Amino acid sequence: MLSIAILTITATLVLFLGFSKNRDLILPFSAAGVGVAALCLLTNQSLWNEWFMNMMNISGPSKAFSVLILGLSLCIIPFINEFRRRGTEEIADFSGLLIFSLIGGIMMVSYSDLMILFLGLEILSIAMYILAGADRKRLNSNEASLKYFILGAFASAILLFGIALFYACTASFRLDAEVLQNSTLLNLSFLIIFSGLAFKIALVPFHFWAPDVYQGTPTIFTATMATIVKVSAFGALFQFISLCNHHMTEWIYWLLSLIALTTIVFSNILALQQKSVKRMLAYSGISQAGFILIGFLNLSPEKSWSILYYLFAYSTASLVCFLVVHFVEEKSFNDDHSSFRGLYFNNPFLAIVMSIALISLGGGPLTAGFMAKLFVLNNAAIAGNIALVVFALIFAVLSLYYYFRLINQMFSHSNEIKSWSIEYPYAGILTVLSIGTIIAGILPNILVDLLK
Amino acid sequence: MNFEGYIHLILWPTLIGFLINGIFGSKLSRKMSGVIACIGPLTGLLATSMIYLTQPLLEAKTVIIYNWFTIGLGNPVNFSVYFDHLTVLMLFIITGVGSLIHIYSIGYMKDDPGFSRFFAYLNLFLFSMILLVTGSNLVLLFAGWEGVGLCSFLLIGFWFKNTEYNKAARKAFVMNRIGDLGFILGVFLLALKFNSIEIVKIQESFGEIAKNDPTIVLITLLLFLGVCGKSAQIPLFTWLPDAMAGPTPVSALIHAATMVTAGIYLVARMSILFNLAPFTLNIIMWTGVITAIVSASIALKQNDIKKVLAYSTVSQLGYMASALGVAAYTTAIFHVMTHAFFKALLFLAAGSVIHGLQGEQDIKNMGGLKSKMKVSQIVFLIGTLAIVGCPPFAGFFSKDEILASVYSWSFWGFVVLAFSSVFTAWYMFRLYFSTFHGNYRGTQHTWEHAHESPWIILFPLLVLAFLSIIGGFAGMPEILSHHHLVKEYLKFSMVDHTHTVSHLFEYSLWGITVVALLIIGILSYRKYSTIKKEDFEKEEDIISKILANKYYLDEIYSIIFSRPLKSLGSWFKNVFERNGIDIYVKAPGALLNKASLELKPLQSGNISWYMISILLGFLAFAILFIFKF
Repeated sequence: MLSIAILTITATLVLFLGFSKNRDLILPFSAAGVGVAALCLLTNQSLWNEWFMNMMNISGPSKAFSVLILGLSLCIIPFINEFRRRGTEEIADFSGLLIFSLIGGIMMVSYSDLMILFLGLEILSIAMYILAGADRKRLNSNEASLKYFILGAFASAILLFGIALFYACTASFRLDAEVLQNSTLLNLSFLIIFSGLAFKIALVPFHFWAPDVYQGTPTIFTATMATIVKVSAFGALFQFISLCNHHMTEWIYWLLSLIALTTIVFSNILALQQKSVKRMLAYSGISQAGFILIGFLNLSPEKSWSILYYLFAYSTASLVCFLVVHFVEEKSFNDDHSSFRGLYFNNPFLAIVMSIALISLGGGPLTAGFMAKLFVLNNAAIAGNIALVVFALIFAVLSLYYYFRLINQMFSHSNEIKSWSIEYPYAGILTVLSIGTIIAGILPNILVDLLK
Repeated sequence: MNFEGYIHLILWPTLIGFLINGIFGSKLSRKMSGVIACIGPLTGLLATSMIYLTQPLLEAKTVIIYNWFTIGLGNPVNFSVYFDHLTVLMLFIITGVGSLIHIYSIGYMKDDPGFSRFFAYLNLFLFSMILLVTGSNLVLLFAGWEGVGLCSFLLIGFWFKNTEYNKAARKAFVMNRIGDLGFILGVFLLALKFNSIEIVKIQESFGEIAKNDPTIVLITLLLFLGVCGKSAQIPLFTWLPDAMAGPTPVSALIHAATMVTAGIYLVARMSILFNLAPFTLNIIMWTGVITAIVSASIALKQNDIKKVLAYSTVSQLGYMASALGVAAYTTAIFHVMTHAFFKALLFLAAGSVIHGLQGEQDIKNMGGLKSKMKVSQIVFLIGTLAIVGCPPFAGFFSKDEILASVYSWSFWGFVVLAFSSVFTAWYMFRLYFSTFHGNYRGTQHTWEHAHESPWIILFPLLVLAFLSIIGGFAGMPEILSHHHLVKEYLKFSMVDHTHTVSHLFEYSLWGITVVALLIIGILSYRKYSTIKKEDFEKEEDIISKILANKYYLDEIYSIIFSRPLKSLGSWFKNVFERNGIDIYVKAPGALLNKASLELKPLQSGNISWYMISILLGFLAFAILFIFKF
C-alpha cells in the first residue's frame, strides 16, 4: 500500500510542478517517484498493508504484476519528453496522468474485492482516455480518445453490471468470501465480468476498439496501452480466476479456450493485410493476448509464472516496437510499412532492436518470445488440449509472415539514405529492453526463478 | 581454483572472444582482435591442463552449470557438462591444436580484410566443439554438433565473393545436413526409448537390453549416418575435399584436426551403445575400410597440395572408423590424437608454402623449394614420415595398432587397409618430393619472391612437429612396453573389446612396413624429384584418369542422385505441382489473404457497430452458456 501512497503523492506533486517555468525537473522527479514505489514493492515494505479492510493485498503474483507495471512505466516516462520537441508543453499533465494510471493498474492486479477492481479499472481507464487524446491538434488523436472513451464506458458498464449480479448472488463483493455457492446466476455474473475485462485486454470479439485507438493515439501512449493496460487487465483476470477458481465450472475453461482460439485465428488473419505498422502491432497484440489466455487454462498459483513470463516477453518486445515506430513516425510523418524501408541504412540500431523485438513477438528461438510460447503451450498440452496447441502453432507460424515482412522491409535498400540519430538515453532504454529479451530467451530460468 | 572454476575457464573465453570480435571486430586493431581470439583457446588449454594435473577424475563428473528450463512434466533441461578422461583428452586436442592454429592464423591472415570476422568464426567454432565434447545431454551435444557444422559452412565460404567457394560451402552444408538428419532422428529415438536426455542416464539403462535389439541397431545406424556426414565417410565424404576452399588454417583446424573427428568422438562416447549392436559395428568397419582405400587411391593423382592432404584426411578418418568398427575405441581416439598432430602440421606447412608462393597451390608449379624454405621442408618431412607410419613417428604406433586390431577381427579388412597404407606412402612421398625437391617449375617471378614464412607461422609448426615425433610414444604396443598410456588413461571412459595378435605378427608387420616404406621412398624419390611439368600431364592411362577424377564420384552422384532427382523435380514442378499441389498449397494462403481483405470492413470505424459486436459476442457466450453448447 505504501507504493500506492508514494505514487499518489508523486503524481500530485508532478501536476504542481507543471506550473513552474522549468520543466526539466518533471520527468526525473516522476521517474524517481515510480522507482521508489517499485523499490518499496521489491523490498517488501509492509507499511499499511492492512488497509481497506483487506480489500486488496499485494503479495505473490500480484506483486510481480505490479513490479512489471512499474518497470514498464519507468521505460516509458523518459519518452514523454518527446512531446516537448513537438511544441506541446503540458508534459506534467501527461506524466501525472500516467502515474495515476499506474495506481489504477496496481489496484487492478491486487484486489480481492470487486469494488477495488472497478475503482482501479476506472482510475486506469480515465487516465488513458485523456492520454489517448494527448495530441490535441491532431484529429486522429481526438477521435481515438473519444472512441476509447465511449467504448470504454460501455465496457465499464458491462463490468459493473456483472459486479452487481455477483453482489445479488452473494451479498458480498469479496471474491474469497465463503458465502459463495454455485448457481447459474453466479456463473452468468462471472461471464459478464469476464466480458468487461476481455474488453480491456482486447480479446475477440471485444477487440474492435484496439486497432482504431492504437492508430490514433500518440505512439508513446499506444505503447502504454499495449503494455501497461494489457498487463493490468491480465493481472485482474488472473486475480479473478485464481480467487474464485473453485466456483467455476468446467464450462468457463472451455469458453476460455474457445476465445483464445478465435482470438488467435481472427487477429492473425487480419494482421496479414495491414499497411499501417501500428495497426499491425495492434493485431499482433491481440493475438499475443490469445496466447496468454491459453496460459490460463489449467491455472494454479504455482503456474502463474508462465503467464507472467509471457507478459514480460510480450510487453518488452512490444514496447520496443512501439518506441521504434514512434521514431520512424517522427521522421517520416506516418507509420506505413513503406516508411520502414531501408531503416537499417538510416539507423542500424533502431532496425536491429526492432528486429529482435519482432522475432521475439513471432516466437523465434533465443528470444524471450520463444520460451514464453513454449511454456504456455506446454501447459496446454499437459492439460490435454492438443488441438488448441496445434492451431495456436499454425497461427504462430502464420504470424511470422507479417513480422518478417516488416524485418525484410527494414533491411532492404531504399532510394534515399537519411542518417537518423537517436539520443543516448532513449537508445539506452531500447538496449536494456532488447538485452532483457535476449537474456530471458537464452537463460529463461533466471526470470522464472524470480517469478516463482 | 576448484573444478567448476576450470570448467568456466574452458567454456566461456572462446564465446566471449567470439562476441567481442563479432560485434566490435571492425573497431579493433588487427593485433587486438588476434590477441583476444588467442586468449580463448589458450586459457582453455591451461584450464584443461590444470584439470588433468589436479583432478583424478576416476569417476565421471557431471556438473550442472545452469538449470536451463523445465519442460513436459518436470524434465529439466540443464546446461551441464560431463567430464571424464575422454573429455579431457578431446579438450587437450581441441584447445591445444586450436591454440597453435589461432597463433598461426595471426600470421597467415594478416593482410586479409576480414581478419576479425575470421577470428570470430574460429572462436565460435572452438566454443561449439568444446560444447560438443563436454555437453552432458543430447540437447547440448546437438547444439555443439550443429554449431561446428555452421562454423564450417561459414569458414569454407569465408571468401564469399568467389562463387566456387560458396558452392563448396553449400555442398559441405548440404552433405552434413543429410548426416545430421540421421543424427537427429537417432537422438530423438534415444530420448524416446530411454525417456531421458542425459547421456549418463541413458547409459545406465543399457544393462537390460539384449544384443542386436532392433531399436538399438536402428539408433546406432542413424547415429552412424550422422558420423558419415561429419567425419566424411563414404558415401558422404565428397564435401571434405571441396572444403579446402577455406583459408588453410581452417582446413587444418576444422577439416583435419577437430571437427571431422566429432563423429569418431560420438561413437567412442556411445561405445556401450554401439557394443550392443555388432551388426552396426560391422557396417562401420567396412565403411571405414572402403573409405580408406578409395580416398587414398584418389589422392594418388591429385595435383593440388591441399586436395591431396584432404583426401589423405578422408583416408585417415576411414582408418579411425574401421578401428571403431572393431570396437577398438581407444585405438581410434589414439589415432584421432596423433592424426591431429601430424595432419595439422602438414596442412599448416602446406599453408606456409602457399603463403610463400603467393597463393600457389598446384604442385605442378612447385619443386625445389627446400632451398628457399628450410624449416617448412623439414617439418613437412616430419609430417610425411608420421602419416606414412614410419617408426618411430607418431602415426606409426597408432596406425600399427589399428591394423593389428582390424587383423584380429577381419583378415580381408586388414588386407585392404594395408594396401591403402601403401597408397598413403606413395602419394605422400610424391607430394613431398615434387614440392621440395628437384627444380622449380613455376614462373621466375614467384621463385624470386618465394620466401620462408615469418616466425609466428613457423612457431606452431615446430611445436606440432615435435608432437608428431613424440606423440606416438603415448601408446606403445605391448612388445615394447607394458604402459599404453592412452589406453590406461581412457579405460574408465570406454569399453573396448580386447584385441590380441601374436608377437610374431607384430614384428613381421613392422618389418614389412619399414621395408615397404624404404622401397616406396626410393622409387618416388627417383620419379618425382626430377619430374618435369609436362610429366604431370603425361600420365594419361585409364586408371590414373579415373583416379584423377575421383572415380567420377561427383559425376556418378550427379547421375544417380542429382539428375534423376532434378528431372523428377522438374516434372513435379511443371506438371504435378502446378496442377496438383499448388492449388492446395496456395489455397490456404490465398484464402487467408482474401479473408483478411474480406474481414477488413468489419473494422469500419463505426462505434455503434463496435458496441453491437461486443453485445453480440457477449450474447453468443450467454446463449452457449445457457444451452451448454
